Amino acid sequence: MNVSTPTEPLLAVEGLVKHFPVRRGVFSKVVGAVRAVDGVDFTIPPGKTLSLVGESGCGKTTVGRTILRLIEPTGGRVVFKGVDMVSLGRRELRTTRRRMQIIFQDPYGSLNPRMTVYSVLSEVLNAHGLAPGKQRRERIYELLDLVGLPPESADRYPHEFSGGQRQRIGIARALAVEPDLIVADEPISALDVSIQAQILNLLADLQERLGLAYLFISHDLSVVQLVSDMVAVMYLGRIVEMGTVKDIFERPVHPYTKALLAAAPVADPEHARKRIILSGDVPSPINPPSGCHFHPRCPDAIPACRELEQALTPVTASHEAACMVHAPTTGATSQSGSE
Amino acid sequence: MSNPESTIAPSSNPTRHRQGYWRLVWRQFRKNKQALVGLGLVLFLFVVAILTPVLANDVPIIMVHEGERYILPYYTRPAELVNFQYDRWEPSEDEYALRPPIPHSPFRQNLRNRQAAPSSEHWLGTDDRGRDVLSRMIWGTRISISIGFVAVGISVAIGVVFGALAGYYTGWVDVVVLRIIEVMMCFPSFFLILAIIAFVRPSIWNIMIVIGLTSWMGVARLVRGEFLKLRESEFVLAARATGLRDMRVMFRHLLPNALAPVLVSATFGVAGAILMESGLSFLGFGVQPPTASWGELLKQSQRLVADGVWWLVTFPGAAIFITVTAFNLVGEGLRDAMDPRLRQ
Repeated sequence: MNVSTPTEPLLAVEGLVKHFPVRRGVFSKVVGAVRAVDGVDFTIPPGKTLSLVGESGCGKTTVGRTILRLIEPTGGRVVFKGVDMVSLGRRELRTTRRRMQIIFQDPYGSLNPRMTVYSVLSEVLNAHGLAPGKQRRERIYELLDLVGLPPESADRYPHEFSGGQRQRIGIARALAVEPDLIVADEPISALDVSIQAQILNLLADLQERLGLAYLFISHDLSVVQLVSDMVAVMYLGRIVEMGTVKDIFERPVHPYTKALLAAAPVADPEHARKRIILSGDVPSPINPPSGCHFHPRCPDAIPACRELEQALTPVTASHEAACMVHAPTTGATSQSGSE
Repeated sequence: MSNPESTIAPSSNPTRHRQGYWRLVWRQFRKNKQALVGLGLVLFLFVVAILTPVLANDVPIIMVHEGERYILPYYTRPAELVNFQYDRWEPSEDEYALRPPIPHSPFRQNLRNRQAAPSSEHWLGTDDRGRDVLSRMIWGTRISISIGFVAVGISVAIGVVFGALAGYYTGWVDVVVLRIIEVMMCFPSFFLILAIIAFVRPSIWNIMIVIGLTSWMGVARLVRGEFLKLRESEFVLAARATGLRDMRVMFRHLLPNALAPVLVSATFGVAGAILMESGLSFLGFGVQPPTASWGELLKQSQRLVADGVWWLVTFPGAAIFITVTAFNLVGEGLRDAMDPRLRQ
């Protein structure tokens, strides 16, 4: 696990698993599990951005929410600043989680329609005893200024704002508790293209000024290329390839990554590209394929792919892939051992 | 980060944003004629319930007696008038009395004028003790409306708490609450209330409490459902992520967004509670005489209707029917107005 620079990671996720039980029948017997996240490891150093990419339903969002324990993980560790979040009790979680925040995809659903911007922010500050008394209003104006909103917006209700402005309010709410890491769950996918760039610039600007680290969850490769330091590609609950932006975009190893990149549109009509058309649909995470989850759709699959699970294996110092054809190790097993 | 997008259009109407949702509901509600009639009736009953002592009483609104001027003596209760016979008093030359429009006390018996048919003196007749039926019905409005609202208030308070706990925590809390609800729903509530009333004094307060305690299950299930739906929404996740306490997330973020269907159910609940109280009083387990209530008037009529005393059946019965219908119309109007699918 040494994709990043060898500094102490801000966040280290180890073997994260989330299975949603599938219940049937009168007595709600558990008959199976949706393996939304099935053993995910990564680290994020302070002040850096790791992007998590993959198609719908691959478990990106679940990873983001499980890290904050908005969804309880089934297994694994989430070590944030040396503390395992998974082991914390309710009360410790409330205070520790403060340093980790989340911004959401839907700027309409992520704000309480019955609360003004001021009361949203004030409430968050209040919960942690931040900016008490007379400093409160000042701090709220400062937060609004930080996200590029005028102070007058404090006394307004969410429905009076545009999508982009709401997203700014969501960011201000996350910043109110002075976090070190922000999980950005598709923060721009629901916005107009012209607004997307503004929000991206804002996020980059805040990263620079406040030293924030981001876990940037997205399916938009062109955005990912722009904002990330590192990229992790997910398929059916597992990371199939991880590396620096350069590694992933210029020297992809895993056939799934290659297919994803080939599918991303390029704004150049002259650009001739080799399309890799994947056959079939994404298999069900209730009953994932044996061996490598990707083998039924993989153009390069060999018989062994059906049998053996391939862990992430180093390709270069900063680049790992889970593919026994393109990144083979001797004696590939289902154990993760990427050192 | 200055950009054209962060400029905010000046709000044209400062009150608009506060009531955005309810304004929309009202606009939709207004289109429903029946609901408007219901609302009018409900408001009328409210006014009657509030103004009862100055609408139907033998105590004057303003009176001058022995050189002394009294305003609203019913409320001020001057010491020198405690045993004053208001009904026998005829103001002399230099005295004056402005009496309520129905100048009869609901309690004043007149045994020489029992079971009198409606006349210009007693518009809706008198009962078996010669008390004015209209006056008793007006006082009964106060009882019915207050029982309706207090009982529903109690049931909403209990239902909201149970529903909120079940819907927010899910898991075993949810299972326990659901089982309690199911057990409570198994009892036929009218007979449960009759059984409880057999043990406690059937005062108006006890009746309110008992009706409230036996009718919260529907509200609890509604709130639970809304909470289950809302707890996964992003603004609730965000509230949890920022470290707000559970109570705050529940009552500040979830509850205000879950109250609309509760309001509809509460409106129907008021109708149900009024009907329940009338039923109890009819059987003699409700409000005790001499307190006037619609059900109590109906109870008297049981014995007398065969003798042709039709006014004791007709008028209280109509009052119960109209009131329950009015609340149900308002409830239906509200439900339709809040349903976004019906909005044009």
